[in-house]
Amino acid sequence: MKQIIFKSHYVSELMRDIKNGINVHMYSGEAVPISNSDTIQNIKIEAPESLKIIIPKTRNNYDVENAISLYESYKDLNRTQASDIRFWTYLSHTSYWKYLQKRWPLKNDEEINKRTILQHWFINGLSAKNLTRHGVSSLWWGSHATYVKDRKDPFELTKEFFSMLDYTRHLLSGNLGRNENYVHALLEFVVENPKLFSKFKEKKIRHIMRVMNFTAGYSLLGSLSKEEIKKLLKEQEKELLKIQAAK
Amino acid sequence: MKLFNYSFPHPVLGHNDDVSDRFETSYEIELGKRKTVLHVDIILTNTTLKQLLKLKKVTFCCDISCPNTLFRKNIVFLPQKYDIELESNFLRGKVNVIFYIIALEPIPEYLPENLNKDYSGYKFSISKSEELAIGEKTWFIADKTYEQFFSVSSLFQICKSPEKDRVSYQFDEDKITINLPSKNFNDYNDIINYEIFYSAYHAFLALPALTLALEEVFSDINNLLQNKPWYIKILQIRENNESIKRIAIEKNNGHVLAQHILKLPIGRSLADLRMLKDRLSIPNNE
Repeated sequence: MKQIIFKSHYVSELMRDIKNGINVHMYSGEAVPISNSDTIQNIKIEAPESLKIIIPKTRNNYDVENAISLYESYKDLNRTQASDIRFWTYLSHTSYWKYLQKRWPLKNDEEINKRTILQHWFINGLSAKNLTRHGVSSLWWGSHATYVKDRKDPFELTKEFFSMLDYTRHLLSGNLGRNENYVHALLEFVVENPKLFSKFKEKKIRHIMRVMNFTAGYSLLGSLSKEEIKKLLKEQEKELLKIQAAK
Repeated sequence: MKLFNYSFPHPVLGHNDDVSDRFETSYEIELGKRKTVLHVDIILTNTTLKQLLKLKKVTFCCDISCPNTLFRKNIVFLPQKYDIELESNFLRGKVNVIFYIIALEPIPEYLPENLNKDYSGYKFSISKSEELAIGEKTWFIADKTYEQFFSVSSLFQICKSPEKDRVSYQFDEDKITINLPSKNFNDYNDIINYEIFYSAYHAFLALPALTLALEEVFSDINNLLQNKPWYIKILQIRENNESIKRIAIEKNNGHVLAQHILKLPIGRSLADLRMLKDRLSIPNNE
């Protein structure tokens, strides 16, 4: 079965309506109306027979589970296909409709709701930042950037990635985070040093990201191997321990 | 040319007047369906760096990044003429390219030839991967056209408008959006695939939209539209066409630039209409 996607003009019409405050209420309802003339088939993408989606509950968003399941269903997408606004907007308005409603519930404020809808149901202008904020595409890109085939658990780094907002919000959208070796090195360093990160983890990750961003101002970190980057991270150990001590 | 306005902890050729030598990089792009190739050509005049290249202590490095596909790669190479090959499906839209010379190993007492006098008396300790020369910030467009419209389809999209009788335009999206009233939108969809009408689409749909869009950019003091993909694409078309390049990017010049970007659509559509009249042998009203 080939993948159905929206036509460009339909995405723009839906998005324009939200920007103009029209149909915002629909996003709390059953669905937006979709007719055959609003969609086309992308014959290069094979659609999965079904998608396993866990609906978020109060205390668990099931981000990791949903990310892994989505990535396994669309493992063969290439980067161009995975940056197609029409594809992700179609999924957020069909299979992932109920998931998004629970994951980013709408409030009683229309302005906030407009922002939430534009950010998570749509990709409001193609960019790394918007791809990593969209409710569904962020799950795929997070998995894609952290999946390591030859690890015992190929999704081990994916699990670490979705454990913290600082990673999901900032790591991939920045220039440095687009280096595969850097992302893998950073996540591996955290996973391999559980004691070091057992306390004040967020503060420590922020410190590492700040230092590495500074270093990347005069050094091409992407030219280094994963092990070499981990060595640079290791040099920060003393500073990280100070953060722990500064409780 | 865009310059880097930040400081480095050591002298960098190509950064301000740190080192008075040349590091000039250029490349030609070959955009294929499967592969994209950059044919790179580098001019380097600094003798210290040339020597270090020979000893393989430093290397050329191309930093390629495409924010739209979250792709970034640092490709190292030694020859001054070199082909960089990438999968085309790694790229969509704007692709940033910068060339560097970086250290392949620690260089304890780095002191390049023709160093600015301000640095006299200093020696620098360089670590692996640190930048020693930096080229111009450049970019190209890896175009992916979605749906058939006309030859400039990457610039425009046609949408159905909730308005009854007024055509409206939006410039804040990735493409210039032309909103047609529902009835017009259906008529448009009926005739879209007839090539004979392409020039007419350009003249009565695209030309006014592009003229308005360009005037909007030229008077956009907040630069909110400068980075929109449709405008970047226009800059690229202009850059690659010598006659369009001569048209100044300035207020009140939008209609001139628009006509040339769209290959003079009024003249083309009149010629096509004349051809259509001849084919259909329509009697005139005189």
